[in-house]
Amino acid sequence: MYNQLISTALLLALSAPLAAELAQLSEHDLGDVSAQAGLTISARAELETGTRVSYSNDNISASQYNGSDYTGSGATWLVVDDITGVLEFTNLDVDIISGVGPLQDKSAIQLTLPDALEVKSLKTKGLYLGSSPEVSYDSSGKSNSHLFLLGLELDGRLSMPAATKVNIFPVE
Amino acid sequence: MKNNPLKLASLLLYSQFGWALQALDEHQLSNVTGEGLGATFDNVVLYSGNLGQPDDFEIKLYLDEGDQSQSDFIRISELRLNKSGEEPGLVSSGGRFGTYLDSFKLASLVDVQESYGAKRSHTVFQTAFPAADLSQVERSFLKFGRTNGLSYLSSGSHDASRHATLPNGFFPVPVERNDNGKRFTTDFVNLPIGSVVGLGNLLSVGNSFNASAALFESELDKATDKFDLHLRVDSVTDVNRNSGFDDQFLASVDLLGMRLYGTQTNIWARSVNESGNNSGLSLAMSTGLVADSIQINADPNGALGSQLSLDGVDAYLPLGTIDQPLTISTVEFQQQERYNWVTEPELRSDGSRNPNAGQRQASSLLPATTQLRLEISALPQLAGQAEQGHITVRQLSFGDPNDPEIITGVEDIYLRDANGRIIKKVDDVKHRAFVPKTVIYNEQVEAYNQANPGAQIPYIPNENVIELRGIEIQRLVITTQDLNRVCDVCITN
Repeated sequence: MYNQLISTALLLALSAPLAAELAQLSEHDLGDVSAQAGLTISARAELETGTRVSYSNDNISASQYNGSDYTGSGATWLVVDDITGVLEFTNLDVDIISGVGPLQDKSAIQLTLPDALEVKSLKTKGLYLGSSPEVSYDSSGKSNSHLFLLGLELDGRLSMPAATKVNIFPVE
Repeated sequence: MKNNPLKLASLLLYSQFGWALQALDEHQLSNVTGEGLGATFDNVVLYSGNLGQPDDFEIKLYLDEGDQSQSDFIRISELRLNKSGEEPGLVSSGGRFGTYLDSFKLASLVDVQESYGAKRSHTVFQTAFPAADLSQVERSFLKFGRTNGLSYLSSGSHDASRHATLPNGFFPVPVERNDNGKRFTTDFVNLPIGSVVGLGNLLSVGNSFNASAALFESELDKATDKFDLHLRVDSVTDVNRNSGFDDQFLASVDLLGMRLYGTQTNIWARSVNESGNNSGLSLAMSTGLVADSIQINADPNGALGSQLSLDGVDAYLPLGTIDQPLTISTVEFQQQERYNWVTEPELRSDGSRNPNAGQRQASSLLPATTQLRLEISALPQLAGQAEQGHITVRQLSFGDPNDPEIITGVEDIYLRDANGRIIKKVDDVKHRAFVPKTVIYNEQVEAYNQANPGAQIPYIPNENVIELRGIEIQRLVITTQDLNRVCDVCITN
């Protein structure tokens, strides 16, 4: 139950900002289908200025250390601030297939990855550490409330030209 | 579970993001079954074009805060991954990664118990690459020979000062000269064809040594293809911000014929109540990498003269275990003010000895700030020894192998048959820096065998130019500090 709650909630949370599309298969495409069921997904996510992910963690209090340099307690927030940009792919195929495994008696979810991942200036202003979930800045655009760690940007086209197939199945 | 695609998909997503981990309680622990998700990958090819081309792909790591157009950054581009030996970016250049029985395990919940002390049980989130159970094999023939009865080692009749894995006299002792314009030339008393050196059980122990490596390779072959990985790294600062890509180039990196083994990551939470300062996000990781060659080139056009190659690489490094995890936590930390380090004096003003001598004065401490703390806790006393890692590199190559600067000598090579009898002398063979003599010898064996397919002679086991053995961490603590970039002590001239 615990796992199901986590996984289902995350699925809903993570899929919310995506604009996904189910494409109708053409006659030609239908001729290639051999699996039991399938979806073709194209998606584009556009992140507007102000998008932010904040994560909190309780500090280890000074009382937990003997003779150390640490002081205080409370919580620290890791903030990925001001995420902007575009992430897009087309034709991610999702099928349920059978006949996998050494005895060919198992089923799996098969993803056929899109031929490219298009990324347009997907970036964050920075990863910050601080005592609150929101970062404030001075007039020069530098934080006066949090510790700046790193800025990150992805841009361009990452090709996957060989119709990479990923089979996903339960294991023990 | 296998009929629940929603759960499978959501767990897949769960594996890709780092969320808060909390220690599971007794009730939650009772629900853990050890199930997880496995994945196999076929036709794996990643490709991005040359930097600056329409099909390029860049990852930028900004090191300065503020206007990113004026920030220093590291740029990673030209990311290419394909089956080893294939042309990058083609439909036909895909490789296979994982099998149904030895898959990439991307989300498993497993119960693991500590081996010492309280022997607490932890439910860990486990990610494992194919061949995660495969152990590193012995790559040092000297060490292998010692434990597998190499006859002349025990009798002391090996060439201890020059080539410890070979019997005395296998390679003639050189006479060094420095004339004829050569940096140094070695010469020998000519050995006659047919003269013999006793090999003892060199070849049989060598065959066992090679068989061990071959078995390792065949196990890896079952799990995954070899891959080639290429990427380019640029460094952009105020000095070269407006210059061309060539001026921003730092290095290109190629991992050829690479595979991972023994690689897995376990993540769990250790509560502060049970683990004190060694609590927080806990990791027990191990990484094993074998590669035919790792090449680093410092020329944007790939000039051979600017290339460093590490050939025959096997590296296995553990980082944290279930008993001695790497933990990541956050703390409030008062750091010393930079350039204002003041310590307590040896004597007090009244001339008496100061018991706090050498310790810093509180006046130089800055207000506390939030910092990251990484710790590998002290090794449990009962453990005796931490898990060890080993790194071996068969040979290094600098640039063009024919560059006179890296030719360390010219020697004749005497090729021997399985009885240790000299069957051929190869004149004036170039020897290169950081390439073991055994590698040079085997190159000549290969050439001979290709020319004489009906009269093959044996290879000898290779030595390594680098062997780092027994790498282990007894205890590690890293607390980050702020680097104050404001010029509080300026050098004006």
